[in-house]
Amino acid sequence: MPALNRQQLEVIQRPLGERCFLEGKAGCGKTTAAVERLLYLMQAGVPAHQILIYVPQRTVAQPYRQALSVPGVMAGGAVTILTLSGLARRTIETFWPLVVEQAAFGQADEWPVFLTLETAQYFMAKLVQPLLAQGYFASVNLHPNRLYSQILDNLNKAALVGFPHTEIGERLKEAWSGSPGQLSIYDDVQTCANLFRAFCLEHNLLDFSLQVEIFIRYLWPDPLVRQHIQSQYRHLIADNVEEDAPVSHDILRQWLPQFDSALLVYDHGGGYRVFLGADPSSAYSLKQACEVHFTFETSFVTNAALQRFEQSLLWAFGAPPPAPPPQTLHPPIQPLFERFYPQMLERVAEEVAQCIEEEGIPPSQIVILAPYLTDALRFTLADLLEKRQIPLRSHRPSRALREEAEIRCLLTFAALAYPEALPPNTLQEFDLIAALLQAIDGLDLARASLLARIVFRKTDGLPTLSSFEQIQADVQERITYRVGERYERLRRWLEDARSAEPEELEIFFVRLFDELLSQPGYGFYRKERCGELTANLVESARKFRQAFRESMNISMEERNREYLRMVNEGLIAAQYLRSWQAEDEEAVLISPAYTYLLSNRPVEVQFWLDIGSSGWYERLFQPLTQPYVLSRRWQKGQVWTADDEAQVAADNLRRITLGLVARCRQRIYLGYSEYSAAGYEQRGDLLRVLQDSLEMAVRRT
Amino acid sequence: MLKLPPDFIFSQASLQDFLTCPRRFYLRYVRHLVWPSAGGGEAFEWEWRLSLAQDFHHLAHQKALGLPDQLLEPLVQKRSAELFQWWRQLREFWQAEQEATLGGRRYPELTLTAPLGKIRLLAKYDLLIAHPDGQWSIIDWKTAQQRPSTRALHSLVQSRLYPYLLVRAGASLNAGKAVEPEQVSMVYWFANHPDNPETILYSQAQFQADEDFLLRLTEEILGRREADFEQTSDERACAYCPYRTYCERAFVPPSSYEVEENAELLELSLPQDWEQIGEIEY
Ligand code: SF4
Repeated sequence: MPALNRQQLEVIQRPLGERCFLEGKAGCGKTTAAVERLLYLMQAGVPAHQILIYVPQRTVAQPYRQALSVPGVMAGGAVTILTLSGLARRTIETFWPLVVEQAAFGQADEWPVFLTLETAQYFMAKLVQPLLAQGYFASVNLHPNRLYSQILDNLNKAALVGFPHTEIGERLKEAWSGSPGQLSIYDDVQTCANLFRAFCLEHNLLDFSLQVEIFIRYLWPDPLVRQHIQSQYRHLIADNVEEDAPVSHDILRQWLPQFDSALLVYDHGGGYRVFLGADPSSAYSLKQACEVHFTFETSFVTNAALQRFEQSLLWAFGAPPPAPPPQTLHPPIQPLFERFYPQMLERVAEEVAQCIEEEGIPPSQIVILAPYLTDALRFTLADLLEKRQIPLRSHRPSRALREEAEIRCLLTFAALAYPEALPPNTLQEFDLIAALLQAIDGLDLARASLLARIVFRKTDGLPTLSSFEQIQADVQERITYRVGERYERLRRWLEDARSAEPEELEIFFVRLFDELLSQPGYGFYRKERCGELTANLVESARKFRQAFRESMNISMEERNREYLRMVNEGLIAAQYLRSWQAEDEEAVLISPAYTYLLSNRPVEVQFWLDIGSSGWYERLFQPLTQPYVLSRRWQKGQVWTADDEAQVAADNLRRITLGLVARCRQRIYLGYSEYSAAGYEQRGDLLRVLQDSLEMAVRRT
Repeated sequence: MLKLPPDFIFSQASLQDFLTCPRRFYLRYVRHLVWPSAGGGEAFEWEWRLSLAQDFHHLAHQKALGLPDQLLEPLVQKRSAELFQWWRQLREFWQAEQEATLGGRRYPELTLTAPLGKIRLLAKYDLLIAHPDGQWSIIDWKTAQQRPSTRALHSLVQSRLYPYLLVRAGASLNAGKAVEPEQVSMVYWFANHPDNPETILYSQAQFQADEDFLLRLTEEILGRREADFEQTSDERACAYCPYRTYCERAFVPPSSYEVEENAELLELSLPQDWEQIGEIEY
């Protein structure tokens, strides 16, 4: 058991029959108390299967899972850990027969198909593409993939905030104060959202928004369902309620009186998932539904000097100046200021190495944070740290599979085996060069280019490969016969696949891997990473196949074509992050600041990169959606102004800096370069705030 | 010592994996290696069987929760003739055993967990019944085409772990009162052989033997070093193992006799999803 203070013990040992609301800033031991409360309930004889841990996202539940897996925890049932989406999906699966007709699904005698983010994007693209050709969204300068995801995002907002999806366009239009041209864009958004919803209903497809809506509108109010759910769980622990959406709070509000005990945990300064519908003020209103209230104020995480720095930050955000400290406390803030961006990264790597080597800080206790995590940044840092033998892991969940060279190699060969799958001239000589480099062991760039230049042919824009045997003898010699033999085997394999009956793409990829690429002489031989990436692609193709139903009347060939086309456009095949991958142990973590904040894991040392960038606090450019306007707090008739925008940026800045400080134990390094990676001068507000507060902290000491 | 994820809990699937092939256990649970599994026509056959088995477990769950048959039936009918046949058998079983095997308080899809030595064990039961006379039945739905022999069934880790855990953790369902081994029986019910279920009666002696077995087994796993997780010498286990190409093992199709005799064990060499029926997380 961790060392607990009196206040924590008081929360842990509250009698049954009470609903408690526990609030405080990050790092004050709220989750520790909630975890201990869970164990206390079990010790007190509460059957574990009657306890529900309710969280906004599964990663938040990690401390609970870990506590429950230790051998010391008593025998009994299993505690259930659920998110809103898990609860909705589980309930829909179980009670589907009750809603299939009521919710007007098109296939009354069929089970539902739950869409993944990528399959939802695919169907959205399928419906929207013909409209783009008709001039929809003509004035928006946005990659189509972002366009699809923003329309989906709007549907999700409607479901999570709890308004009909048919009001999306109207709400956005009403709040718009810019040029009138944008208004027709919102009409286009509405048309597409309606089309998508109608398509899903017709084919029993449930994207995230429809899952939530079906659960809220039909299942939760159903007496049989409600009785089943409420009798199953008698005790509730809901953590990070401020990161959850209003409909989740509505459910909790209605459910709370039924529980034999409840503990709600609210983090001050949270609400980082605003893009996913998080609504701290709606969460805070749950306090009224609880009869016992606790506030934790003392941090278990930050040292005295960091707490001091936190106070000067608060002052920089407008709070009264803090009292002078009783002893001299130099802020544990270390600036790493350089003229150019690469120099700054080099300094960061040096300091990381010093922390590990000289101070003995474990790599897992170091986190490098940036407003955005680009591939370039990830690669540069990985390289710099690798030179110093420091492992690095990254939190960047949405990375398209296509970005991996090994995957592009598999896709290139699929395009050669099924040349009609992609539009003419999609495949280029350099694609083949890259694929050959991956596929054939012992091939260098010069030979790969030479080989590709000779064998890559196009007939009516469709790619084919010619035989090695047709190459002149002296050139064969330059390429080498060994490479030639391997190439020839590969070519014949593709030729066979091309002339055989078409097969499911996932089978094609597995066979290509199995029969050829993982064999001696080929590039994937005994390379686990290649195996894993292929498995990820296979899994993505499988999920894609499973999303189709008979009612759609789509042939296998057509489906394969669609898949290849969509992967090629970067629309689908997001990296498959398996749960265990997220927790790679002894490595320095590099992550976008928001992602790190949500993981709720304090560390000894933080590095903030690029503090001159405005990306730390500015809203993403999202011309088709607006999380604040579509929130529950937004008043009908209000108009979104530049002042609102500035206010949001200021709130974000405050939330993010204070949130990060609260999750740091020892020291923060500030990485700044006068010129950004793109060569622009940077003087964002974060820099100003940090300068002000540091000056203040030094003045007061 | 072996490094498992901090929240790792041993289940019948992982233990059976270790017994079938220590290497597979290592690759799957320690290394978390994802590998493109063998393709070919059988892959779809397995996938289809897996999804039917999942549907059947799902139906049994829905039935236990009281969803009306007439609402479920059209969905089953449309899905597949085989599933519909299983469903009809289930309905008959339900009707006939309403007061006997199924009589009492029902806990469908319930998970129990308990510590043992340095680890935790977990079992997810298809259906647990607390009979009014104090007896307990563990019902496990099986959809294998062949009915495994009694010997094969008794040798499954599941047949030891499930009754053992009910005795260890059942007090939480029994108003704090311990469940005695003699009160427990386990019934394997076969959708394809509904007239031939297998009932295993539990006893104090068996409970003790199972505890020793599970303790020894898990200690052995934890005590091994990476290099000690050897590949199985029985290449038949590799036939449908997802790591077959990784291990560079040839495809040795099991003979029909083996299929019949070891249907259950063969199922356990299927892809992970298959083994996790009833252990699927949200
Ligand atoms: S392929 Fe065979 S040896 Fe390799 S892990 Fe699987 S069962 Fe074990």
